[in-house]
Amino acid sequence: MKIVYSELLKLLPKLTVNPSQLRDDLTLIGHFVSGFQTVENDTILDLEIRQNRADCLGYYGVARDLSVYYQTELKVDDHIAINYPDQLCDLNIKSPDVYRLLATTISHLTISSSPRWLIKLLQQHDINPINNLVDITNYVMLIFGIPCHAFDTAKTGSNLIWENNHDLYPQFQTLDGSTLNLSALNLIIHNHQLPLSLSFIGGNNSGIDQSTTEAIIEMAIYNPSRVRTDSRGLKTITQASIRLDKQLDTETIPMAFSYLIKMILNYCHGQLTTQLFDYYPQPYSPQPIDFNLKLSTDIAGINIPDDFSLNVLTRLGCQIDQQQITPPTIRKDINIAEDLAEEVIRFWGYQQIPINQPVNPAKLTDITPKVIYLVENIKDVLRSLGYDEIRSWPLVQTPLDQPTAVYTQNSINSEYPILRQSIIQSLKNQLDQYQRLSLPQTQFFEIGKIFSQKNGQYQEQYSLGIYHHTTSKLQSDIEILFQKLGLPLPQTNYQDKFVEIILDKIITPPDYSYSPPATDNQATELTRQIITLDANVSYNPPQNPQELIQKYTKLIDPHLLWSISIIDTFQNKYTFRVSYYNCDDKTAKKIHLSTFELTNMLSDKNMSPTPKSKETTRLYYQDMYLQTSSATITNIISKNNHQYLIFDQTIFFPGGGGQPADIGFITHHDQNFPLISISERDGQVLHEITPSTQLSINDQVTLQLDWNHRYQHMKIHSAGHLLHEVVMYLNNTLIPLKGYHQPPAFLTYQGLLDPSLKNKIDLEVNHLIVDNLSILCDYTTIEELRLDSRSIPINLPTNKKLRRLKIGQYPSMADGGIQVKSTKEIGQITITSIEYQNFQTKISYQVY
Amino acid sequence: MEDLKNILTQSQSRIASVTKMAQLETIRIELLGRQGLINKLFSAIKSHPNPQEFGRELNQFKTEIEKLISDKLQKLETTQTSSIPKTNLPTVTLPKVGHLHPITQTERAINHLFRELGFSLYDGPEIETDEYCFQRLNVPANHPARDMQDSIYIREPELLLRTQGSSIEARLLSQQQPPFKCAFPCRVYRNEKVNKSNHFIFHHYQGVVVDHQATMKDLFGTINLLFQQLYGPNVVVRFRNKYYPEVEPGVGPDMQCFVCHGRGCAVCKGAGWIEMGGAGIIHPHVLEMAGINPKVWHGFAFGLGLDRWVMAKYQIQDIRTLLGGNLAYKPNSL
Repeated sequence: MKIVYSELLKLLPKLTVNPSQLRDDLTLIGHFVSGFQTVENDTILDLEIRQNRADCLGYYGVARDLSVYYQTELKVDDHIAINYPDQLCDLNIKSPDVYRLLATTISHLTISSSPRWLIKLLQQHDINPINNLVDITNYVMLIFGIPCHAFDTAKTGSNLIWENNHDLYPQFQTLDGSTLNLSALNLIIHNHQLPLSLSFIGGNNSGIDQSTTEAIIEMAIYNPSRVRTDSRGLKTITQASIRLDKQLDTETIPMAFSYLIKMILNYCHGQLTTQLFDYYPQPYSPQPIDFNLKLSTDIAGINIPDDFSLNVLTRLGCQIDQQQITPPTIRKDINIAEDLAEEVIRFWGYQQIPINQPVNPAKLTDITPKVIYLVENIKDVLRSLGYDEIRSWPLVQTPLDQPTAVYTQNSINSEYPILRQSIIQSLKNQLDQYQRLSLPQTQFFEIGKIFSQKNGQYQEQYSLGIYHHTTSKLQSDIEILFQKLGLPLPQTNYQDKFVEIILDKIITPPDYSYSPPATDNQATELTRQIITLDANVSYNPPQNPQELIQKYTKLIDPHLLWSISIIDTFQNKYTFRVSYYNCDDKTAKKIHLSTFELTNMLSDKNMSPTPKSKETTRLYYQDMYLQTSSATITNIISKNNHQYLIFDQTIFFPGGGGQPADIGFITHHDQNFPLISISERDGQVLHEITPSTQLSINDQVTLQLDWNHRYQHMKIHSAGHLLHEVVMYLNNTLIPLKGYHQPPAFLTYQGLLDPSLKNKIDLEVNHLIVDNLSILCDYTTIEELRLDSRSIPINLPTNKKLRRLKIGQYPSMADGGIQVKSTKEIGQITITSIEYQNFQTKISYQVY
Repeated sequence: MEDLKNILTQSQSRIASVTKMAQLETIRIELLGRQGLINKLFSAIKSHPNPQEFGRELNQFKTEIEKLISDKLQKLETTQTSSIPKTNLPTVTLPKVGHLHPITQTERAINHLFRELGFSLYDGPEIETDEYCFQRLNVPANHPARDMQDSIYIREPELLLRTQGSSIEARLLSQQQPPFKCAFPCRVYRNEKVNKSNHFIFHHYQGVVVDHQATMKDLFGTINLLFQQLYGPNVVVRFRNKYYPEVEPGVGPDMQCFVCHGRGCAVCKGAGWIEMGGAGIIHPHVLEMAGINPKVWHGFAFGLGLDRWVMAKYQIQDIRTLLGGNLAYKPNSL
């Protein structure tokens, strides 16, 4: 809710505080100011109005609060006299959701643009000025917080009906031309022929324009639940719905409506032609509240004088009768004595309450569940044994045991729909991540909840999971853990290098407690891989290894040194293994060389021991339609009666992602060498041929693709991805497992896809072919891919560019295959079967 | 093959005659080093007329040489009093240090404070009912927190992943007899898309006191102490009126911006203050729903989010790092 300072002053003419002080005061009394902007010698304050303060969705309500706080005059003309004629206003209210409605008709209107001050004010509230009449309705809504509306009677007629739709009309067109599909209970305003308006948004067939001469003007308050349901159900939020879905004051309407009519007559001229229509079937009557003025003092913990309390309540507009206080109708949030006490305390000022007297520290009975102490003790022992604590997502992709798995119904992170059934699932994910980061020698644990259900009964348990890279060490550490805890070794579930123990099953002594040690240690957000390098260093005479480690530790910047150890010694020779972080390979090597004064003794654990061979240029990614090219042989590998050629560039796709490798031949001096196989190693593409002595390194050759074979598989591959998009659209809870893009082509998913959808999928996917969507393939990074993908495979490399596929506007996906350029090229797809077995769905397809 | 036998015989006599470690190492490098004889012989296998048999012989030869050197080394070590380190010793490194997760470390610092103030710790289920997550906290039916986009449902509308730690408060009120003071670090869920700055899991820290007397003064003093624990003794805190359905009056504690110290900057959006959480005097309806007489017992409750604070303290840029991400710990005290 925006408040323009100069406009507020019209209601509080004697206000003397500057905008900056006003901001702080508004915030302290409960209207948090989240925005503060000075524009053209004026100030705009953006208030976060709380859900229970519907009265403050207009200047009037905010000014009422401020007039109490600053004890200053609130200037509102609440006795505007309007002389309505006798002619009846022909309106009909048939809906119980109309709480109060005031209306009248004005003819001889002059519709033009609004005065400059009004245009400016609306713009300051981000409302587009339309014309004087519409702008005035918006202005009055801003001032009093109650929406109002004008209908052009030349378009609507004068007989309007407020009614719940009851399937009278299937659709409604809004002012901006959007079409909304109506349901039975939507509250509509119609004229027996057309729906003209909803409670919170006008229609495109009743609006005021330059030709309007007569209009029905109405202001109403509806059942807020009805408005909220309608607005959210139709996914349409407006300035009106934000107000009408809260409890507005039916008693403020007459004042606001008179103000509205007076402004219209002033600025649009015109004549009133009907009497005031006032529909108010159940007038609101606030209930008196028993209130002891001492309650404010009791709650605040400081003395608040009675006369101050009485003054505040009076200025708020409360009726006071002994100890019975009746709040003003506009304050629907005041219902109990504590609400009144809050009013007194907030105007007394929270800042008056001392902040240096915390709760009495006297010990009460310890009701801490024993399992919490057990959790804390386990963490300390494991930490002392050198384990790191991790915390992970309790949601996972796949269930361990389908019948007892707990699924989420509506998580927007739909690729992780299941609550974990074992903590080991989480540990494995963390281990994968650590391996991607090349983190050496990890050992870690997590304590968290695991979840299951049986026949609708849900169970969650505390579970301890531990990982150690050495199984025997893990087993001995578990024994030490429980020795140190002083508890018998419980049932444990070992899985390779992981163990899981359910803590809820461990019985602790009645007096079991916990004394925390003082700990404060560091954690690091790794943004790139750890670089591990070895160094062989000789010392004569031999040195104490621990002292050597200390020495080198001091030589390396601690912001770059992850770990250092001596992994081998022989006589006076020591092999150091050092891990670096926060730096790239080159920097790590440089530091390493200078630290250990190495020249050619460096051995790099992460790098290939031989100089890295040049990677093959992949022409098939640059132009997927290239059928022939020249190439130079850069290497020939002969091994066990096989011969492999490596070229500087190739058009032959070595296969992958479910798509088979290309076939074709290599030509040299008019002799053809058919390809036996194509494979990939260390960035190079290996082309196997029948061993021949006629080819040598640096020979120029011609590469010739079997285009029919390639093109058919490009189409099958693209068809598979297009089909995947349709499948995920129909059921986004499925987890993709595999795509096989050669006959018999199929996709498999974890989860059930209704086989009866076969024809629908067939139809949808072929529609997309006709739509001729673009299929784009390019290079990207894993970070970019994450931003625009439903999910990405867990094993993707993080240190190099990745291939990305994007069909039309569907999410991107990682894909290293070869695709056609647009869906029309695929031809026609036929879904041959949908099978479900072992919790997996297999969708088979063909391309013609 | 004859050559190998000859070399083995020669090596046996050479090794047998060694009296010093250095001599043995010279022989080891000559025979087993990267540029040593055995490696050279291995690379000549492919050109041997009978590669398979030669390879087998060579492996056997290498094993015998390794054993000769190893045995001799053991003898020398037992006869010499030298402090020369042994071969194949286990890795020498600094002691492995274990670590607690930054969230745990922060929770523990707060736990410590509240233990000193006589609080117990408490917990409740993460799969929570609508009753305990909303109804018993006075959350009306049309509260935005009930919207599908905010809550992750297990079985709509009655079962969901708890959206706020206050559900533990509702459990506590219904399970325990006052007076009590409890604090509860907890994990809560919102239906948010995960990216660099948003997550669907948040870490909250909440506390509840129910006693014959529990005033706003007690509440303000307790929260101020909590902020001093987290942010240091010079922290400047203010309290303002704020609405939460489960409390009346409601309180919003703010901390003076640590960047601009109240002058206004981009971090605090010009306000000079940073919102830190929510608090208030427990609403009498909430006590009544738990069977606690609000005329006899009074209480206060407070809560704050830990994630942003932990990220700032540990200089973490990506909120995903906190849970199963790139968070790692140096293995030794470096």
